[in-house]
Amino acid sequence: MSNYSLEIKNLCKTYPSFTLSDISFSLKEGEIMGFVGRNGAGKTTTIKSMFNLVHPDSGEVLVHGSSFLENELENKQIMSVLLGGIDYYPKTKLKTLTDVTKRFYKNWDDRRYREFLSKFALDENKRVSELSAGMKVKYGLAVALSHHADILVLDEPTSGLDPVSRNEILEIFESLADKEKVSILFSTHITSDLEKCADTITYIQKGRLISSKPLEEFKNDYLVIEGNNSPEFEKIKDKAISYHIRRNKVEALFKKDEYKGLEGFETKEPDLDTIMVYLERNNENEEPVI
Amino acid sequence: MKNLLFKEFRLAIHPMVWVFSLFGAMIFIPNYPNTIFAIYVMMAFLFLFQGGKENNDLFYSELLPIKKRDIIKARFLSILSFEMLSVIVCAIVSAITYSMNYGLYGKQISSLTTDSFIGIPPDPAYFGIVLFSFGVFNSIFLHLHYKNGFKMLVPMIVATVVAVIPLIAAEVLSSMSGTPLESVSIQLIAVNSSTALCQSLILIIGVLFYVFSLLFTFKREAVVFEKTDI
Repeated sequence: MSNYSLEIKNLCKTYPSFTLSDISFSLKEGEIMGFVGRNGAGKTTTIKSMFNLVHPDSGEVLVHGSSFLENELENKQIMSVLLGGIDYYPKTKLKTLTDVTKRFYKNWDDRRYREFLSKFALDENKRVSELSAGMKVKYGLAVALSHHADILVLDEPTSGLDPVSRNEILEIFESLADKEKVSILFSTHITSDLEKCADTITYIQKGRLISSKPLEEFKNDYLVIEGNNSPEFEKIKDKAISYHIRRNKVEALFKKDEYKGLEGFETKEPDLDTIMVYLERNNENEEPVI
Repeated sequence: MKNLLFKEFRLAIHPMVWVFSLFGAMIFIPNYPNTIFAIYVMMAFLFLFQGGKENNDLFYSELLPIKKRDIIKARFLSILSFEMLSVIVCAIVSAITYSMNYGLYGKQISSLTTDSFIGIPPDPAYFGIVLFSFGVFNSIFLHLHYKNGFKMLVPMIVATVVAVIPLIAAEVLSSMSGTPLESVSIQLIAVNSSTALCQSLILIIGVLFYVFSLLFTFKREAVVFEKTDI
């Protein structure tokens, strides 16, 4: 039995104008992984490739150590994917949608479903289109948990939600991971969500994997320096991932092992937002440097 | 498959598909071309597929623990059900119309619809031609739909235009009294011992073409669908 709930190995997919290349990462039981990248980085393509909604050119997806494709039907019984919220059958009542959906799951637990409806304050008589974005995510979670999914993959579940709703969803994730040992992979470009609840970060950029490691380790890889622009900085600026100069003030992001110190410059631990901004700034017109 | 069919009928099928499938009853309308109902039935599938698109049915279905080809199979079975429903409704209403005209003993008892059948009347050849036409429509529409990334309008127009050709041919050929093609016309509109063979042959050809074209189209499109990215 594998130590991992979900393993993605060397996933590749080529489109005429976009290439997803060699994406690999692993998700442990009860782990929350933030899947990060700017819009268009390939997060949704990766998720769709994982579930064979788009056909990867190469690569493998393992669920509890066995091939997803070889046991697709069994694996889909214990996995759930939410692309955004629930965005299908908008004019259908939740109870009708559930009545149809539950027939496909061997381990459907109606009692548990009722519990989650009550916990999430969902009214079954409402139509999908009458739910707020946050409620749509909650309904998707209620359905997933009622068929005892132990791997949840969510594509931007918190996008478009107000801070209170976002926090609610993140707390549900925490509770599911800690109490139910559910493994959660969720893509986002909202870095504050990751700071709140992610155990690990998988960062992709232009279809390429930049890093996949625990959140703190990821943040510890980088540092930010601040100071007045100087000839000394000009000498080392090429080693920076990227920098921003305004009114002679410099702010730059370095990989920790690339920065040897500079007189007159202060260093500080960057937050995820800063790391993401500087990682992406560097690549506007060039190939990624890391 | 039972669950998928339940999903089709509970969620996916637009109410207008049901309505259009009952248009076989139009056979009761006097002096109205009897083949027109088949065109309505074909157009009804625009509601089915457009509804599926608006409801994101493909995403919903693909994430369920089912085989991809079963999604297609369920859709084909839905189409088969509605086409058969329309034919059965048409056959029942035709039988009622005939019995109103000729009673149980074949003697004309009413003029309500006596001469109401213009063009081809609802006889065995008629049903054979309607089924043939459905077969042509299914083969073209479903192939173009699945091959071209689930497009609807152009496949629908192309398939309907081609499938209407045998219907128009039947209507025209059955109205050829007094022309050199009168013998063909008689074979299509008269049901008696001299036309039984021709009528039966057209019906059998229609049924066989319908069944085999649907099977062939399913096998081909299931392979295409398995490879399609959504």
